[in-house]
Amino acid sequence: MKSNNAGVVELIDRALNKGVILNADLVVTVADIPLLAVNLKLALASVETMLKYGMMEDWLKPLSLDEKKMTPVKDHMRLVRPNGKQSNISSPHF
Amino acid sequence: MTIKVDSDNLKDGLLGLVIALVEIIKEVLQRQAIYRLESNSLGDEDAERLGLAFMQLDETIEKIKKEHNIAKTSNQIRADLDNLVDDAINKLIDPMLLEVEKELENV
Amino acid sequence: MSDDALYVYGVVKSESDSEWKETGIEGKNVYVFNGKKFSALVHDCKEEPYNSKDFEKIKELIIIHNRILDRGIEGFGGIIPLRFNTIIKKGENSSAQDNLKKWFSEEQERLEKIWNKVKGKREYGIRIYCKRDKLVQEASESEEIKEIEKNQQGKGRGMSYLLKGKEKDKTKEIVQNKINRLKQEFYDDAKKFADDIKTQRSLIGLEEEKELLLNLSILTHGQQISKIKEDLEKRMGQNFSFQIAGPFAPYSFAEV
Repeated sequence: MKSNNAGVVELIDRALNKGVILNADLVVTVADIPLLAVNLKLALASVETMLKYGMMEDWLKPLSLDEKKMTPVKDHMRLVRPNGKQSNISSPHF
Repeated sequence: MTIKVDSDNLKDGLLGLVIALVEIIKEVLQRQAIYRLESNSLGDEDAERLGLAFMQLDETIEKIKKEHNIAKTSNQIRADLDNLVDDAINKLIDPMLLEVEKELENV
Repeated sequence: MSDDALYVYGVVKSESDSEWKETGIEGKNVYVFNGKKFSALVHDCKEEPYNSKDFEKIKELIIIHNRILDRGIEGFGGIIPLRFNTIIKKGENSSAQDNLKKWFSEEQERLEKIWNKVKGKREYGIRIYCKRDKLVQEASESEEIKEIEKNQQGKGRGMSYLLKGKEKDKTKEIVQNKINRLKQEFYDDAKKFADDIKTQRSLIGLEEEKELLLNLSILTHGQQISKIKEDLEKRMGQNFSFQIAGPFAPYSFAEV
């Protein structure tokens, strides 16, 4: 397995977004905790950076966390939609 | 997908949007002019006048961008608009993409 | 909360009882849970997903998840990867184990298809990049563009301005045509030695100053990847580059 950054990011993308998924009634997650679709560049950044770009605000809100304390509870992973610039969904025309 | 207008300074945000649109319209008109020039429905003299007018418009736009420091904003808006259009066109070409996006929204 | 849920890493086909064991996430014992035809690599856990605000931690967990999949491939000749954090919980009248067994029997046909497709194979990610500004430079030196530049000689300022605009458009068109043609050729190169190929729709680039053109996942045997690499290298040329990541367990092909 590659130990370089790009390889790890590719791995994270696959482990989080691919692979078999089971019905919601069988597993923990999905219904209780939304799936995480990570902006991969930010996956390499720290949590502070994510806060700086306002990408974790909804994450913190429902739990009324004191941002200074930042106590991790049963975390909610938010569906993060990458902004238009970075997610250029374009399909090659073959 | 959204177009971000900088809400910190709404005036500049709006100005950025207006400038972005003006630039786009100017480019469309410019292309029209070239097309007509090449298909000979626009005479050389008229083309010269039009070209000069576009040049002046360009200079004015650049001046406004400098004075209000909105070059970055309007460029960002242009980029977002480009992506929006790309996205819309791709969805027309490939209906499956539309399905994928709908699915993502349901998660 | 007791450890009565099952964290599932992946599914393998195993006819006989296996001694296979590994250490997984949070040091848990990963073992083989047998169904009739298929088995799962699992560890006992609480009915709670693995989670952390710290992305470094999540990265670590995913790396461990993936390591177990790799060990599974070594032990069973292949694996059907499950998504990270798949935890089967107990039902009202059933244990997590019962639910897993039930899932096996319901999905047997589908699992059989996937297994036959992915066994013995790995996944690789191929990303192809270009330097658009260099390509624009290259195009601006072409005959077509030189011709347009020549036509601007001796014309008025306004006319020249219009023609400059045309030059820019034409240059963009030349570049885009080259890119479209090469994208197709790169795709064909990758497809040639692959058992299966998928185009990833998300085009989040991982290289600074380069534009991501294609993000492919291919399913293939280890030896084939070097042939693909060779072909791509031949075709790349200036201003294009590629990266191959992997081998991975066949995440992207774990569906019918």
